[in-house]
Amino acid sequence: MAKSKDDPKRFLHPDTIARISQLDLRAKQVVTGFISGMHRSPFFGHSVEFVQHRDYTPGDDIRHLDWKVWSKTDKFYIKQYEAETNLRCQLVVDVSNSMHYGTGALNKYNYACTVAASLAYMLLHQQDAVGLITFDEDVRQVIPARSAHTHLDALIKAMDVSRPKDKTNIEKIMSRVAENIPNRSMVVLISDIFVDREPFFRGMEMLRHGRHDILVFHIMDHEELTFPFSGTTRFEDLEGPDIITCDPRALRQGYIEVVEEYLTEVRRGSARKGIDYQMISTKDYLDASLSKFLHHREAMAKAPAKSQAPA
Amino acid sequence: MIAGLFLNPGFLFIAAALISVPIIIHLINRMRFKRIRWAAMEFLLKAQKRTRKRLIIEQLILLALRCLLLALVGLLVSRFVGCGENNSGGTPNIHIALLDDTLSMQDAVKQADGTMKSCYDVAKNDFLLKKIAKGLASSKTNDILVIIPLSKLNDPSFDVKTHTYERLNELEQMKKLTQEVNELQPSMLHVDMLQGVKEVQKIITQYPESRVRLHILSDFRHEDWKQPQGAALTNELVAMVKKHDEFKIYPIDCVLPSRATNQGGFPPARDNVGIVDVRPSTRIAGHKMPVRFAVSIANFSGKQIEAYVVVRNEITGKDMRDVDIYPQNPIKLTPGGETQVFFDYGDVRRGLFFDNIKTGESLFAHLSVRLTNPQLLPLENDGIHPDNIRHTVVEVHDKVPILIIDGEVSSEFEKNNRKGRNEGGDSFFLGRALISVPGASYDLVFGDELVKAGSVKALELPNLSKYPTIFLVNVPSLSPKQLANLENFVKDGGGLGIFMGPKVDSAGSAGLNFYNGSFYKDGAGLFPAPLKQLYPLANEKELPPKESDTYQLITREDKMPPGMSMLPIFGTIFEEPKQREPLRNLPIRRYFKVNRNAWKQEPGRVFELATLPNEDAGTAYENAVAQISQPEKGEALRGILNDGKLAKYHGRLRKLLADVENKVKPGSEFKAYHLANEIDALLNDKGNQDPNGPAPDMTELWSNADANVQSMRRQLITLRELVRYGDPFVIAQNFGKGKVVAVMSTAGKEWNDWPGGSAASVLYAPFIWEVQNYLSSPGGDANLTVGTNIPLVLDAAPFNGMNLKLVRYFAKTENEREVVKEKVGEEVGRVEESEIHFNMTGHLKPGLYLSDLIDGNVPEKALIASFAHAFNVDTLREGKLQRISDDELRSNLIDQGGGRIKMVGPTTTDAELVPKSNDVSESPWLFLILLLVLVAEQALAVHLSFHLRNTDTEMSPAGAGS
Repeated sequence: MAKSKDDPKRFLHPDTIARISQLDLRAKQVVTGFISGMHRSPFFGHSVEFVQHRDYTPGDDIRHLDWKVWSKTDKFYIKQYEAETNLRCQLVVDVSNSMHYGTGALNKYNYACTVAASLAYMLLHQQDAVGLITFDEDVRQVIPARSAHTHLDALIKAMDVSRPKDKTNIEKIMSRVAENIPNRSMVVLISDIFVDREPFFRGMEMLRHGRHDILVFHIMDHEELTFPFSGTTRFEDLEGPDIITCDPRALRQGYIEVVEEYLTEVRRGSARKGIDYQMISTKDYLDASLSKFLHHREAMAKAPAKSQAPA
Repeated sequence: MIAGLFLNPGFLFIAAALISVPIIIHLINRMRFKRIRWAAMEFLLKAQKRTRKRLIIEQLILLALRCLLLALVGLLVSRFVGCGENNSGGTPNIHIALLDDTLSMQDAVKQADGTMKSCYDVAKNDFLLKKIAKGLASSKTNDILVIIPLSKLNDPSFDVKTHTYERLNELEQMKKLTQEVNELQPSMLHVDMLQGVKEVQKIITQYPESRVRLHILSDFRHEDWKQPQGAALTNELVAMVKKHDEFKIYPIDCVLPSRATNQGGFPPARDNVGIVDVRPSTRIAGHKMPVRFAVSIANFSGKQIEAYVVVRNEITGKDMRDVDIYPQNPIKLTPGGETQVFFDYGDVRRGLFFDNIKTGESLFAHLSVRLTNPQLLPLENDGIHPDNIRHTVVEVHDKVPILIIDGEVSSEFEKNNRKGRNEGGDSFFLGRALISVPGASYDLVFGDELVKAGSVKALELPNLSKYPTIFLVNVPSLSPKQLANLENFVKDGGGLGIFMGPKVDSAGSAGLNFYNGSFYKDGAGLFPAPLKQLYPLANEKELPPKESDTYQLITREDKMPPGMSMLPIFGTIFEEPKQREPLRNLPIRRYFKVNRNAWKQEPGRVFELATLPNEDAGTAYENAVAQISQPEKGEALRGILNDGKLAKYHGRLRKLLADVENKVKPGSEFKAYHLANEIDALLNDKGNQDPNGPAPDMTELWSNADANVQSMRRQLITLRELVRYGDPFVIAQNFGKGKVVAVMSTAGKEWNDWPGGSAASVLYAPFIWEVQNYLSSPGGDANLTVGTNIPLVLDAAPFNGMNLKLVRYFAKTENEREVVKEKVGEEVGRVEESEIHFNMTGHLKPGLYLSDLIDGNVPEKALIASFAHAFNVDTLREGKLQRISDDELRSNLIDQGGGRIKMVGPTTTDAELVPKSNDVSESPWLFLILLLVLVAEQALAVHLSFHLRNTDTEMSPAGAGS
């Protein structure tokens, strides 16, 4: 118990987050909770603006030692500067009708918005530019990427007012997204991907052509994965006219098989296209998405170096 | 038919309904569902498409398994018996319970808890319900139980169908049976078991293919089952068993204590006494005439029992304490025999029963006689009580009309032709004797007063039945119509007295031809004996006055009818022997001889009441006497004389034999009856104690069992009978319900001095009263037993234009309460040709049944006629409670059945009486199949994920959440 009490991650549980109504506060809670758990901050980089000194710890780059201070105090301090913005991140959030499904503390839509807000908050604090595109059957809102702190409000407002609507038309949307992102950016797609796989991959392909880094957060409700229903049930399509009345237990095995096939297809397709893919259940802790994002960003930062070294 | 395949077919329909339950549940579930708005419809559609066929097949299999499961449970609870040979497929087993509900089944034994338990209770509860019905409850559905209560067989409304019970394995049917059996009550009737067996035969023919089991629930009394009387019954039962292969008989003895198997001998039976008969001396009495009632009480036990005889006037409901019972109370009842008790009732001053009676009115005096203990309560330790009371009825008129037809009277107004009615004529003496009866209640009606054309023509009148007695005096012949009318009159219960006379003789051969022809009719007619001739003949000298050394009229107690303790007519007159003395002087000068050779004396119907002494010469019997009295001729005498042990009798025997021989010596003038007296003396000699030469008691010799002694005694008795009795003088005959008495001489002084002029004349009037009493007394058939039907046939002519109705009542009597007439029915006459027929039925309770004949068109009009019949229990048949011995029952019935007649005892189980049908519920295979189906169903259900597994909640697609 003591351990869980000290565990900062306890604040990242969807149930906890759901209690915070304001999305910006949610985002703050998520991000600070997340950061306080890190041993080493990757967020301090090269910048003109000095922020602070700190004690040298073995492994620190000695280039960042403040020799002036050493000469005066005979102690090693590392100089820290506020990093400069060098990333443009475009959050693409699915607000279609299917996202409205959910049984836990947060439905898919809420979960997606929280993830998006958290990322935006974190990025804006790093001086990165964050933009937002929401879509359902078409692109609903486009907020261009900016790095101002105040931009978070605009992003959150855009998400908050977006209500899930019609069925997703992913290819068309991706082409619109591609149009709306002029420069090479990091594109974070947060969706349940209840779309046809072929147009989806074509859309992704399209984004890849624009040299964008693509990170896909595949949000699935826990029930959509486990199909735990029993008793005769009529399932009515959220986005269409289909209706099935069945005994869910009888269909469970088949359903799970189909879902497994689907997930595999999406995962493999994403891998093939070089898309970083993460499946997230609405039951998962929210830090999973942040962690994934940072890993991705790290990898992104390394990739050009690697690619430039031989050149 | 299908129901026959199941023991509990009621459950069959429930099972059929249950089979549809899974389908109904499925349909209901289809109608009641949750609604979920679902995003991942694509997968669901795909999953459904992919698994659809398999799911449908699997679910159909599951549904079939579930239906099968319920069907098997249905088979289990409805207890399918199958169609195998053992259960005889759909053919039913017929169980016939022949329930003896006759009076003797009321024999009850006190139980430990103080309650009385009768044989009938044992039959109903211990065997019929607790064994037979219980067995049938677990038997096949179409097994049938038929209950035949014996008493119902004489009930025309009885229908076997209403006592037939089917599907007794159903609770409702069993309830119905139990209720109806509990409602059954023992009857007061006697019904022959053979009648029940005949009914069973009828039922068997209705079910030729079925197995039949006959359960005889009875008390197996010795009286009903002993041989040879019970032979017809046992033979019939044995024949039925031999005739039908599938027929078994279970005799069930319901008497307590129970008959032990193979106990041998007579099972213990209870003592019982009962009144066999209460007979008034006349069935129609004058208002102020005393009536004598004879009560016969039987003691069926082996020990002397004391009982009090109490008479009750049932009209007032009060015991008649002033009645003198003779012999006096308490009456000692001889073991194993009948005891006679008499009482007179009626008073010349007060009248009989009724204070006032109008002229022409007829009332019914209803009496009952009962046996009680000293406290006037029912006898203790008596087997059955209903036989301790007996009802009787006497019709009371202000005056009893008697019709006298005198052959010497042809017309009332022709004085010359009224010889018979004139002073000194036959009718004159007869009438004078009748009206001299104390109470003088006779109203003499002469034929010529009714029909001017001639006295005899009065016999052509239709309403003779109003006269209890008709006297034919000196009537030479009757026309066929008169004879037929007279025959009907007697047949219906009338009494006919016949006196001979000169007219009969003067008719010559025509008179004899009539008497021996249509009147005697070879034994089938009204006249009781064929006539030979007048003796002495009319042209011969009359018989001289006799010496008074013997009775001139010998009463024939030796020919007394069976069942009577006293000779009719003469028995009453000569109740005290000294009253016979005047008979020594009874000059009978002429009489008609009976042709003994041609006389057919049907035993029990014709009896010679009085005979003239044998007037033949004694010498005619010399040879016959020598055959006995001479040692060289008589083998028996030789044997006695040679027997040293009998030496003390030899002297006396020789002397007495010499006296006998003396009477037949040639030249002696002794008559045959003198010889008879001498033989009598020999047989009854008591010897003497004379000191000079004591003589031994010869009666001791005759009671010796020695073969020679007995042989000689028989010879002597035969000879005595031969020589004692001469020609018959008074002959009685039963004819139909009525009686006939014929006197071979005149009623007046023409041929004898009985009516006057001799010492015997004092007995003339009592003789005539007794003839009248005897003729008007109830016949043997008047002893009506409950259950008897009485047909009533009336001549239609007098009732033309009327709608004759017989309204029937039961006289409901209660202690200290006046009788209440309880209406029991009404019957409209059935007209057949010139007759109107009624059939009085439903006499099920002992007591008096009254019937009023009225004109249905004018019911308020006075009665046309009234009838009263007293019905009583059949004490003789039902009162003997001794049970048939085990050995006799075994040898006559059980052992004859080839193993298919089995005695049932208290230890017999219901399964032995009613074979249990094996059903599939007893088969382990059904349970195995049931188990397999259950396992398969569960397995399939689990397979189809209809049952949650432990891991279900964790089940999710691989990679999810990773």
